[in-house]
Amino acid sequence: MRRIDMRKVLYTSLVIAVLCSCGKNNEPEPVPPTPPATGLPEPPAEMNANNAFCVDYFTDLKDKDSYFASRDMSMAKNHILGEEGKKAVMFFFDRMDFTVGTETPLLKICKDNNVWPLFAQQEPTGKQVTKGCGIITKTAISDFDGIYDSDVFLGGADIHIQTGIPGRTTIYTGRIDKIAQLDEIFSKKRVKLSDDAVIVGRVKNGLEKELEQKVEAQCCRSFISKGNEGWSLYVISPPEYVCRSAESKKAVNLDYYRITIEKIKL
Amino acid sequence: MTKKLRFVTAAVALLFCLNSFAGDGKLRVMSYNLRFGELASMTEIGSYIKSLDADVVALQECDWDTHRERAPKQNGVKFINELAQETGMFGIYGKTIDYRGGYYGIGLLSRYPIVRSERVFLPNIGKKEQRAMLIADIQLPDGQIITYICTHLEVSSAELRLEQVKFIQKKVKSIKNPVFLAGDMNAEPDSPEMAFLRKGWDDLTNRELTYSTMKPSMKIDYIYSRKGNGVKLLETRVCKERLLSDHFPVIADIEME
Repeated sequence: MRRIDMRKVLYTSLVIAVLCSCGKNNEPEPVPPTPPATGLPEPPAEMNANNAFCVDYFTDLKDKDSYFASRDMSMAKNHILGEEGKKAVMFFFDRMDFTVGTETPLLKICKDNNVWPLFAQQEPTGKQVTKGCGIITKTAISDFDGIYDSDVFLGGADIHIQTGIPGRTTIYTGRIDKIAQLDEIFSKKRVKLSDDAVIVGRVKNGLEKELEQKVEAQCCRSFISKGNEGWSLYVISPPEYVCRSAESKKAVNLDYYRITIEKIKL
Repeated sequence: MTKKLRFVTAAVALLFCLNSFAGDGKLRVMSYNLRFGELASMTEIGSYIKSLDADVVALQECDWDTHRERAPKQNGVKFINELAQETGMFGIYGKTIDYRGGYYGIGLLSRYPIVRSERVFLPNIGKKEQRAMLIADIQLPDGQIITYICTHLEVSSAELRLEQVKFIQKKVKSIKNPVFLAGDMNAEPDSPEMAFLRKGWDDLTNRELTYSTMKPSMKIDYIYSRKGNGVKLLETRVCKERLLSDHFPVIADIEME
């Protein structure tokens, strides 16, 4: 009968035990996902107020009625001409629908004032009513630029904004209810969106994350202010611009967002 | 049975009406030189334009916040804003020069949204008054996009006008939509400038005199349709019902194919 070498058994058991314990932790540690390398430099942590500008975007982020269906448009006029309005370079009125042959709120607001009305439609032209976004600028607009097809509508104006970094900026507005619309926008406005164009608008709830990813993949910056009643506010900007905030505000009963955007030197 | 027949007849009639509203391809286009509002208020001009029921209107001699001695009632008035409000149409403005504390230029009214617009300066040789073309892309209810251009050509030099029409002709080459050119051309139909234009454009107006309203002696206001637009002219006229400017407006009813 062979004698059992207890020392060998002990060593073997120890080795097996060690191997087994190692095996338990052999699964790789969860690694935090690495963001895709877009080459987008981080904006400075602190905002330089001299290079910042504001736009006021009037919306309830619901898309239920024309904005002034139950609101007093004289408040909007007061806002634009008042102290608060002085801080903004452009005003957007989401769902300021246009009805052919009637006095539109957009023109009523602009009447007798040195401001310029523009309109960016949000759906194909209707025979009588067309849904859209009223735009009011404080300076003469020579060019109004946009995209229009059966599904994608984008409209905006090129203005000179006085900041520490000289140059013109085109501010567009557009509504995103299908993520594929962004492909069309980037395909048609790639040059401007990589240079001097900013888009403000609303995106359908549920598409916010995809919007952020798509914009990042295009080497642009995005900013989302989440809404919970169907739509969120978004801002898309080129690398040389960054949206610092979208503060939800009220001018009496007019809901609006004051969007602060900074031009940055990279 | 009678009820059914009535229902079917009503449905067919309704469908017919809807069809004729939803895009029958007909369009009324217009051009009107306003003489910087010297002879009438914007309310009068707006109400006249509205009564003419045009879909797109090219406007010349439009002020923005000027202060003219010859038109004191228009001091500080922004013509396009006022007219857009009066007519319930979309309006855009193309400034050509700074003038008397404000701007002087051209404009455009449209029943349908203007999806893109651009003001382009025309060639200016010899330090004449700067002229421009205002280009607007308009989406019609049937989805079709048309490009409507308003202009007001040089008044004193035929040579420069010819340069300007050549420039316009070159500029529109890349536009794929049906293109219309309307305005005060400051040239009569038999002039070399208009003869040049007619090589590439069909005149949608007749030979009736458009200037001046007090003593008509010239035809200088036109609406052109670029050849190949697929446009059928249904009717055209010079509107002489009211004398609100030194020009009569011109109108053309067209059918888009």
